[in-house]
Amino acid sequence: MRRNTFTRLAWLFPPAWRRRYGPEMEALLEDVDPNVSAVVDIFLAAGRAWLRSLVPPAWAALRALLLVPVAAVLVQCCVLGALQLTAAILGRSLTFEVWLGGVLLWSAGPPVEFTLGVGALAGALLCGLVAASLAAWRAARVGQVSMAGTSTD
Amino acid sequence: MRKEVDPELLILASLAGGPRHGYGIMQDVRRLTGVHLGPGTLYTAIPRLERQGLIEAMTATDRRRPYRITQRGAEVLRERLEAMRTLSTAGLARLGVPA
Repeated sequence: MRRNTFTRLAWLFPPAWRRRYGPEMEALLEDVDPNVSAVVDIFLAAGRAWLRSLVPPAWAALRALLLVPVAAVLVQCCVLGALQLTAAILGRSLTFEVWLGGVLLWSAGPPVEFTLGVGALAGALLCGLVAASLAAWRAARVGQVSMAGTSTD
Repeated sequence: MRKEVDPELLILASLAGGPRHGYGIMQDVRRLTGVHLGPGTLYTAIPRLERQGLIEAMTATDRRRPYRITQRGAEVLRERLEAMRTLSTAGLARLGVPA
């Protein structure tokens, strides 16, 4: 990823957060290696920040549950936005961007707003299911470990 | 097993050595523990620590704003490290490893 684009990932955060931490975050991103793990880390952090700004503090459990879907929607919106821009620059049809992204399963027909919305929703639901399954698996595993670790003395 | 360490504890431990800005904290944590703190993780933890009054921002130089640990932050860090030492000593003793 180009350095300028990487630095602008700070714009993914909510406005109130950006007013306070934006300049120092951008300065930090100028120093950090722009690799995939850093990008994923920033997307997740932006998802958390948006949840914090939108969901009341008392609903912390809901916030944790929504984190991955919100991050997934952010990623999909950015990918589709970039593809739409690319398609517009190249003067190609919407089918091209959908095909290029490989994000959605179908390629022609519905208008982009519809595919964007359905794609984001489907992605969010899928990620939510995966996250919930992982959490359940992890909880079961922790339970097994603590059962196995129970001493007999 | 994946290495999981609380980023807030790492930041407090780093700032216990003196004021640092974001990138300085990332480098210090990596040097100290081998853990790589991502920029997003760092700037999720910093506002939380600030809200809890465990760290405070200093005057920004350029756009880089240094942070320092507060008195309360130092107390919390000491308590948590002592709890970890107690657990570590007990766990190692059970494994037959001298502390």
